[in-house]
Amino acid sequence: MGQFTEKQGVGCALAGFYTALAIEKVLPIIHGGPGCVANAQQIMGNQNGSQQGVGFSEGMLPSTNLTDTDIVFGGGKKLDELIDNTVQYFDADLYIAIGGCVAAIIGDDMEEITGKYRKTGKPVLFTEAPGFKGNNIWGHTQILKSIIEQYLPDKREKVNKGQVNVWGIVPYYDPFWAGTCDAVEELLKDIGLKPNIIYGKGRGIKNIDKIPEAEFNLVLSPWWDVEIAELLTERYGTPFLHYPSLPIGPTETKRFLKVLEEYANLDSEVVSDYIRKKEDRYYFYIEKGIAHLYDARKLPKRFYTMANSTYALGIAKYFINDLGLVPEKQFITDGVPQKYQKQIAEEYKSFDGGIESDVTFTLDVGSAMIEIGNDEGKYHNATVIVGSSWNDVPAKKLGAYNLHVSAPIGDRVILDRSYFGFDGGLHLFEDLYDKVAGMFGIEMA
Amino acid sequence: MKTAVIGSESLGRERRIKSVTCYEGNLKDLTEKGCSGCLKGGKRCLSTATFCSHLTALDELSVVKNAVVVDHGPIGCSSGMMRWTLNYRMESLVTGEPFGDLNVLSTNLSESDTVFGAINKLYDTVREAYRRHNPEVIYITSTCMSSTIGEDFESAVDVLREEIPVPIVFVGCAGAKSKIWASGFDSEQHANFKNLIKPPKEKRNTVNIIEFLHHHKQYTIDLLDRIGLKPLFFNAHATVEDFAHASESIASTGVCNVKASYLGSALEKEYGVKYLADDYGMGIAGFERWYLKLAELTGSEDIAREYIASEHEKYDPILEDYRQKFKGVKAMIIMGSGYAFELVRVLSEIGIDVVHTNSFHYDPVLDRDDDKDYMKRVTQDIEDLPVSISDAQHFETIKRIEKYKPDVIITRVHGAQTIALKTGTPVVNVLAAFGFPGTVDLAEYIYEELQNKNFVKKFGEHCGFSFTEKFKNENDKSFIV
Ligand code: SF4
Repeated sequence: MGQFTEKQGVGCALAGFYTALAIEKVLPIIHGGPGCVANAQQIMGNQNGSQQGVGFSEGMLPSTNLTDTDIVFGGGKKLDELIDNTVQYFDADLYIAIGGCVAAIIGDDMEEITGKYRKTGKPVLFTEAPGFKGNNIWGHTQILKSIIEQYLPDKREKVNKGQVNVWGIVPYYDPFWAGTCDAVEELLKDIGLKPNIIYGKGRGIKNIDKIPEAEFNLVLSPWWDVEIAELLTERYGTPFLHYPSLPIGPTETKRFLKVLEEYANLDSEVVSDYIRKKEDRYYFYIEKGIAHLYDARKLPKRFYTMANSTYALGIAKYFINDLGLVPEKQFITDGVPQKYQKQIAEEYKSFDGGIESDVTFTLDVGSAMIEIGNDEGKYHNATVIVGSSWNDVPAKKLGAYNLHVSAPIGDRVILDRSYFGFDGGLHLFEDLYDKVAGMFGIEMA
Repeated sequence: MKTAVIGSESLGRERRIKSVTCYEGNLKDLTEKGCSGCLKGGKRCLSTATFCSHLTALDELSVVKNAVVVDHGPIGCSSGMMRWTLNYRMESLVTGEPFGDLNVLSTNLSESDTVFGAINKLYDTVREAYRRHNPEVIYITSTCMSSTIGEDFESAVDVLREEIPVPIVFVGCAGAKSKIWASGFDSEQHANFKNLIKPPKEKRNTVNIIEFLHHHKQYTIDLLDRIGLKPLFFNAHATVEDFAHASESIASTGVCNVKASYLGSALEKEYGVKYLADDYGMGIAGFERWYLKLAELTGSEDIAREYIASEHEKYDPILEDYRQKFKGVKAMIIMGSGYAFELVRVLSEIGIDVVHTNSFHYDPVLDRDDDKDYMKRVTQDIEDLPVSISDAQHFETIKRIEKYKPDVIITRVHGAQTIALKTGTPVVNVLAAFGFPGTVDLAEYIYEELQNKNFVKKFGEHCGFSFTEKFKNENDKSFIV
């Protein structure tokens, strides 16, 4: 990390506590300033699809709320007392003490403090996640690492045939995480696998316990959680399949299923059946739903993007390969580490029909906004901007349709919506063309 | 004088005016102990995340017209700007300001910067901020990290002032400075006072209105116009020039003392701009007192009285109607201290009984020397009211809701809303309750909410908390040690 940023599309490492919140009955204990949770909440929770923790929530997260005196005298005692009382009052299966910048600068020994509790049989883990070390995706990775390294056994005892752990979803940061977990689980079950996901309703610690037994790990993102899959290989010898994109819509979901079929040696008839059924269903709804759209209307064709890598790429593929849109400037704003950039850039060179696009990696959403804003007046027909609520000013300038899919999202209420798979394509189609239809008879007819 | 606008930054409220965040008792006891200086405030054995004075300062600086904020810290400390940006955009529509974003850049400090410092990053970011936005003022804010590693802000500002021709203002607002998020108002106002406010050249018939996003902008303009005054709004939409003229105003007033006290008191002390701290126009009686005080400034009390009488004529029947409708309704308040106590009276004006009020913090005195008894007027009729002070420590809130069993909870921010909903209690967010129309607005909102409690009832049955048996057996005072 280096350069300044403006109008971030990421939270800081500490915001990784949302990953703990996404696991049922896992309670983060914050060792940080009084406002670190609120900072995270305003990009990952409230202002990201109107989300909050379920059971345990941001409004009541144990926190040492460190101030000046603690910087001088240390915050270790405070953390110790807080953990002591937290385990007495909050009923959790697992507690994770998470340290932010102030704790790291003071140098409190979190390992020692939490170790005391582990010795007494209380599952209290620790994660150092100061904001100056990385963004929320890095923080998310640290939380998962702590769970794997401090809670799970060193070795795998047995392999549960057909079990696949699913990774590549960063809960809350991806506001569609919960619906996507459900949708991925359903798909994998339908084609004969035993999915194991740790986030969302009814999963929790029992699914964490099953992680070592998986036959393989599946990563559904250009780079999120690749490190976790590698760690699991190292620790348990579990192989992994990295599918470097979130499959959205028929074309990519079909490709994904073919790759998976081969990798996991699935019954090809079952997979083909699934594809046929789902694809037919997809086009049934599309055919049913386009009458008004094509009734003497001009539809947008070009799209800009400034979003996190998983959604930027996943949506670009769906828009280009299935919806026939044309890419304009594409910005990926989740701080993709150098080593993954090349592979992502290559994906942007291989869309169907020989379509290619450049892609820019930046944390600085502010600069992306300026570049998109510079295209004011360039095109006759209205365009689309895919991104976050930071889209709004350039979208207004360009008169573009404005689709929010990446944090922060301040104008959507996201419950079980997901863009994953065949059905996910339908949802995204609805969300995009809702915007278009919403303008009929208003401004952009 | 507690507002000593000296030094590079303001002190946190705990130290400056002995504000507290932990108390349980009644209003009489709270104010008596507070005033005699023996209210130390207890400690809790448990603490949950609150809010950040740094964030408060960022919000209030970024709304200044054509301002850019450069936050010298790790990315997280300014990652939450979307929340206030949305509020800002929404209120811009109401106030006729252009649609736009709040512009905050982060220097994005990384690990090596904790060792070597990062003043060059600050230079680069400030230069880029100037190039990108062509601002009228650039604020440089400190964070826990940049202040702890001892960045030399003073020299940096000197260097940058040489090359950039707009005011460069340092704001000392590290979150660790204070547990009380309202301290962020003081940090921001301290910096604005020192840098943008100038000695008066002439006296003008303006009143400084120190509040948030000016939801009632037009109404305020009309009210003041009637009595020969003009508003100067701070901070949202205020220009550098507006700040320069603040000292020429005849008086200052604000949305509440928590927000307005530091700047209002400083302007009074330094430049004799009267600070009307007693009232800020909430509810009926509060509005009357506030408006008459303003009218006194121009000797137009008669006009004010006439206006108030016409408002009575128009609204009294409506208010009476609500008083009938609300017979027997019990409320609990969970709000910042500027509202938590005033609202008790406002609710009584629409016939609602308050069974408990919880304030996020409590200032025993204001920043003016003579404001020791500032709570007297508020407390005189309700001395026995059970009150608690907690900085959004909602494990206590839950206990209090269980104990007082209100029919409705009046709140606004800091997590109380969804916590309260989980107890199955209807929740109403109060925004201002300004004047007669604001009071009716609040009454109507509460009335609507009480018409159908199906959602909240069923939600409360299905969604809850995950506490141990031990927690369930504690009471609301258990956590204070
Ligand atoms: S960057 Fe550091 S101090 Fe700022 S919110 Fe994140 S953990 Fe807290």
